Amino acid sequence: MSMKLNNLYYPPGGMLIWIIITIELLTFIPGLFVFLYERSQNPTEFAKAAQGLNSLVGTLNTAILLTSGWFMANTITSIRSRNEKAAFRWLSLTIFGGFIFLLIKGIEYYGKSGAETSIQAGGFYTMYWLITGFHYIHVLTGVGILLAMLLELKNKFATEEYLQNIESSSVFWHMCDLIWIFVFPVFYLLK
Amino acid sequence: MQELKLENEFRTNLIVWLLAIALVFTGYALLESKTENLLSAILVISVVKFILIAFYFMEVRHAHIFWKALGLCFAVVFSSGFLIFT
Repeated sequence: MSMKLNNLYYPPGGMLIWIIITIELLTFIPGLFVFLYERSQNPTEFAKAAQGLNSLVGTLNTAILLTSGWFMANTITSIRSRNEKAAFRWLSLTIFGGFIFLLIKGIEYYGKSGAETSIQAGGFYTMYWLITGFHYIHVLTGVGILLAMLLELKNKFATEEYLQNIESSSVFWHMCDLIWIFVFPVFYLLK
Repeated sequence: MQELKLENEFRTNLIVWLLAIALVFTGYALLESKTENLLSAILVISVVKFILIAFYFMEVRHAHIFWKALGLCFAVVFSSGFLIFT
């Protein structure tokens, strides 16, 4: 660990990333509450619209994102054990998992681009596009950050600066998991 | 000693991942089985997954109690809203 973690002013990954996580969760959770409230006002319409989402595909994509999170955790352990090759392998797999998630979600978005399921459709689908789209942008950003870390791995691997940066990047990546853990059941499992 | 600790960390990561994946597919299986208590089950599964990821992958379990409490607060807030609106 780059610093002693049991420190109020230095949570895992650093204070700044936790301020970001707090703001993100305080954005997504009320967004989900608005969706659930709207759903409670129009249960028939929302139940019908929810049938349009494939729960199995959503489940598989969730598993892919969580697997990518596991790869990320192993990346951090490899870096701490000073195993550069293993770190490179795990980090590459993490990014690959992120790409697969984005690809599957992209295909789903393509299938939902018709008039009845677009962002302008109102109700269920407007909220679906806003909330999952916002999450998609986070995953895309996370993949970009991890790609930058992968490119720096060889030159800066053993430095304290790299360890701090990769720990912050890791926490950001897991934040995408955390948000999805709340988003996924609300859209894909409440039928 | 350090190597053993890191080896344990890899093992912990694997166990957490297996549990999280099992919970993801349990949620789907419950949906398909059209169980009566689906909402409660979905909520419990989501909260357990949230805690697993936050406390193990994000290492909140090693953090100051403030960050542990903050993580749990988010789980409680989400659960409350979920129960109120569903």
